[in-house]
Amino acid sequence: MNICPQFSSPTGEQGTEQTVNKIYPFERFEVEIKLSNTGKFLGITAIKINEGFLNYKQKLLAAENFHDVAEYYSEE
Amino acid sequence: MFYESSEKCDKAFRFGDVLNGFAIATPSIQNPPLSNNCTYQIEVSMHSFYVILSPCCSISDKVLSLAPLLELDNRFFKNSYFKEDMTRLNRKMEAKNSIPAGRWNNMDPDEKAAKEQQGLMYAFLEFFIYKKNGLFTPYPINQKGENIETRCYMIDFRTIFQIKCDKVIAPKDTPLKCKCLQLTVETRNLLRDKLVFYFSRIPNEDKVLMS
Repeated sequence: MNICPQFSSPTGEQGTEQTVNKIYPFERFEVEIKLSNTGKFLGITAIKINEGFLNYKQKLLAAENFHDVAEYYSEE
Repeated sequence: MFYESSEKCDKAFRFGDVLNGFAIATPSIQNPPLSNNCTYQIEVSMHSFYVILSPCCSISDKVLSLAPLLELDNRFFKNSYFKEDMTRLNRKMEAKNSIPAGRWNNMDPDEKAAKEQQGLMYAFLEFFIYKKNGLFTPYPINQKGENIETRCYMIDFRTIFQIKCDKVIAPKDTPLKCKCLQLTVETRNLLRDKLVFYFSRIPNEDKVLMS
């Protein structure tokens, strides 16, 4: 007999289906959802403030900011 | 304070510490790639002082990343904001302070207005200034019509190199006699911030592909 331990216990009682929690960024928030192991949406478990406030494009802009001044130090 | 006082300076090696007693060996390769018939040179030079650029937690395994303390770039002395205090180069600044006053005053108004909107940013990204200290030898700066002498030195992030040393075991197990100066926590943070910024810039080619 092939018993899948995820769905039934040795006593024959029906077990709880295993689930997976995933976090998706949404604007300023992180939405944590619960999925079945077959990928079925089971609900939202948490909504948190995303503490990484800068999105990737904003980080790119922040990273390029410096005064490029070499030309102002050449001999006039 | 830029450096820790002699009472607070301990014997452990840290990021930013000033050391002496090392040398640089730099391969000079004229026509890479090398093959059996190619020749190359190894240039060995000694500087009075070197700065540790290994992060504190990575000072181990008989390896250190260092950069030599170099004389300042003459160009910095064209800028009166820097001349007052060279360590201002270590911090972010307004655009008007990053450019010699004469060039700033003659700048096109639109260009000036755009720069004024930029806010605080680094200039001269490759360099970090080490404040004058009694250990450092003074040297003259060649500026038109001015006799300037300074004891400030700098590191250039492009000159970072590696040494192997059997005595570098851990931050507190190192060749103790080599340590000359220790940065304060505040200064060490300034160095860390600028070094991180220097290496974190993203080239335009990558920006296009990643956005």
